[in-house]
Amino acid sequence: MVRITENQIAKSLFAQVQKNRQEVAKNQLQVATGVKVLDPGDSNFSGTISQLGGVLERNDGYERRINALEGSLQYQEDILSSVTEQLVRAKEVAAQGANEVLSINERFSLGEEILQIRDQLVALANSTYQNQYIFGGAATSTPPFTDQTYTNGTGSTAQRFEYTTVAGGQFIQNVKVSDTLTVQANTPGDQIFQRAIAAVERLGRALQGFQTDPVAETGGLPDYTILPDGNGVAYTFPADFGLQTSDIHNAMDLLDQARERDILPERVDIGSRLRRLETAEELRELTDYSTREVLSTLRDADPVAAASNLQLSSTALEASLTVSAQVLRLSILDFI
Amino acid sequence: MARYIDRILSVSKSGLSAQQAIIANTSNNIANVNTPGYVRRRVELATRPTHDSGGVLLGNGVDVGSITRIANDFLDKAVNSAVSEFEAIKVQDDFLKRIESLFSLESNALTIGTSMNEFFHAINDLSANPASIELRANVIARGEELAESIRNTFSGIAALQKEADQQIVTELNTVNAITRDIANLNLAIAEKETLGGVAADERDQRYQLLRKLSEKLEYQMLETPDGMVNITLSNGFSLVNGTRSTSIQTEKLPSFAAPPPPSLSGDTLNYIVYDFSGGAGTGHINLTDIIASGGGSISGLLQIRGTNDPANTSAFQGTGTLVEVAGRVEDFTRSLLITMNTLNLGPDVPAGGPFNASARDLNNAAPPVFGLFDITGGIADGGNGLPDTADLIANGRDNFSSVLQFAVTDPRAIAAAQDDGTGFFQGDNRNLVALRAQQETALTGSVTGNTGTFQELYDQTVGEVGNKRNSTRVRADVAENNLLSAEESRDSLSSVSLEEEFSDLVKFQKAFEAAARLIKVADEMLQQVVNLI
Repeated sequence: MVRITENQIAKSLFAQVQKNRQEVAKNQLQVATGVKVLDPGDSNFSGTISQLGGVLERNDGYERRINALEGSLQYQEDILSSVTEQLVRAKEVAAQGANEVLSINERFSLGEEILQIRDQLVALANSTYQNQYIFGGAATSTPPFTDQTYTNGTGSTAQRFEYTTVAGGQFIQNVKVSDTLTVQANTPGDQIFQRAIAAVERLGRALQGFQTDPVAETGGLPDYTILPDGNGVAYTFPADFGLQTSDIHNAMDLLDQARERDILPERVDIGSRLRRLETAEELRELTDYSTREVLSTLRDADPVAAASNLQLSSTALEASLTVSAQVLRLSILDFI
Repeated sequence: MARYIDRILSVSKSGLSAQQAIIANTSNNIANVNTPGYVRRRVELATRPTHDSGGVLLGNGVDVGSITRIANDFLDKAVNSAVSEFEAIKVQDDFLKRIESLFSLESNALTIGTSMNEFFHAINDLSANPASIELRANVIARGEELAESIRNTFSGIAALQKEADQQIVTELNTVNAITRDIANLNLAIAEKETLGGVAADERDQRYQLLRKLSEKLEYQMLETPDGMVNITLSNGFSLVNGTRSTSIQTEKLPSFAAPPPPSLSGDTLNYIVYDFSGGAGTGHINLTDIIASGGGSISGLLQIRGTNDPANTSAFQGTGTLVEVAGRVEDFTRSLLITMNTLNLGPDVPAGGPFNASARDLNNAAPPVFGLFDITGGIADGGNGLPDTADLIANGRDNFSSVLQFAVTDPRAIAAAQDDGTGFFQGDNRNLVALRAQQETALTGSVTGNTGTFQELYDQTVGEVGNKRNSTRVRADVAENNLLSAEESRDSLSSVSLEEEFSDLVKFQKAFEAAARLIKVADEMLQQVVNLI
């Protein structure tokens, strides 16, 4: 016969109550926090939980950068759309000016209007986003297009707007928007605006009565080293009136080229980059969602299970307390 | 003829006093029902020797023999070894519980993991806009936060190690007090028991002390025929020998040649030694490893704190949970100090020559060596201009984690650009691109040899801490159950049962009544004899 003593009973009842109480405390915490893994020791998967937490944190950073880049590209697209409008307007004015019914003076005042369009184009090319020049490559603190002095074909000093050749002017920045994808954030301004500004400038000068000498492109690429010689030789009127008209026509061709070869492709490119950003964002959301789901199964308490576990463990605790009270009350003294 | 009546009277008398003795013992058992360590006692009765009374061998009554302690050596020992096992694991579990809070998985806790991700975010954000002073200031703030969380984590671990060491000192004092008391009780028991009988009270007390000693360390025990116990460690070192006890102590500078225990804080930790030179201070026997390999809280503390092999030259080569975890944190720090700083200097320009940093800050200046992360007081560079492991080793430091800091304080001094010979420009982010790529680059820890990205190294550490805690918790549960069942077996035999005592009480009371009645019968018989006259 196994001998059972009061000490034994008291100890084992106490141990049982303690165990139940710990269980209740654990379940209470789960219900209160909604989480069952707070410290690494609470789970066999704590390494994985930490890793998934890292993925989510990285994703947050990507989201921030995707949004910032989206804003910047959207802004660039708006600028290019304004540029297109300006070029269309310049062409309208030029078409008007090419009409030989107009007098020299009337052409001169149209030239004034064209030079204002040029100034607007320069201003657009020198746009800033968050106080940084967008189209200057990595030279973000100085305007990329400036009025520069040069020596013209007749040997005298002249001015024109030109892409500043500074260090980093051709720098292209790539922004990391996911673990595997980077997206180009900028295009150096000369590749977008140089030809447009030159064409408008040449048109303005021609209308104002100065010969320009459009130089054929070499190899299909714009030759920026030979620019409109706006302050060059003045036309001799009326002999050069026909030449002026043909220069205006040439400048109009240049305007079309600028629009079709520079501005339009860049807008298409920005559009495709924006779409890639959207894809990256969708992918990020997807990863985020699935990661959160896995993390939740590993770390979060199932509220229903936690609540019913709490109920169960509370009942068990109550039962063990009741049993303890009953058993400990049993004494032989009551029967003698 | 009255000689038989005399016999009846004397036999009844022996019965009366025997039942009284038993009831007295029962009352003692009842009184001590809740006394810790009390072992129930039983009065042994024996029939008195008969003698010839004219050819008839009549009984002579009862004698109160000795008092027996109802105990079993094997059950006692089982409890003691279960106690040792449980205490060793419990103390480790307590410490691990505190370590794991340094690696909390709560999403808003500031840990190395979260601050590292924030730091790389800051670099990534800056790389999109390298000239921004705000974003540069953000990199500095996040870098300082990362350095701080590394410092906090490492110092937290180092503080726990120091605490464990101090606890060992206190526990040893208790051990010495216990062994002294056991030796004294040995003497008392031997003195009492040579006179015959059982020194039950002293044995109860000694049992309590032995159990307390089991909580502290694991020992072997042998009872000698004179009732004394000898206590030895598993290598035969004697803690109690008869009436003599041996004090053991902690020593930071033992006489034997050994590297100090692996200290994370830089403060020397203790060895456990016996000083055989008697205070002259030169003769020590090393007991650390023997005690660490057994059970008991001191063993648990030693295993958490870490012990050293004579071949070890650095703190991180020691064994011990805290040392292992700290080694992983140190890996992280050294990778930051070497990898990030080397990259922060930029590629070698011109390549092949003495290293020439090509990175440039916003003022077009090259970053200093150990420019991004640094430690208080700086690190002596080996002279080649490039931070490497040799520089760290030459630094003569145990660890860099507790003094790590973010070296850049001026936002303009963060090197975002690289000088490729074509001139400096503000928007250049090439150096930042190289730095951010470190988030995905696999590294090899120079301390533990673990490999992985920063994130993976951290995840591994969290997993390691979690698994260790999980395992000690399960083992602690098992050990507690073992202890409970060992105690149950012992209690079943040795502790007082009130039901039993009360039923005994009724039984012996009846016997007492019967003996008293016999005296009355004898009296009546004698009366009748007298009336005959």
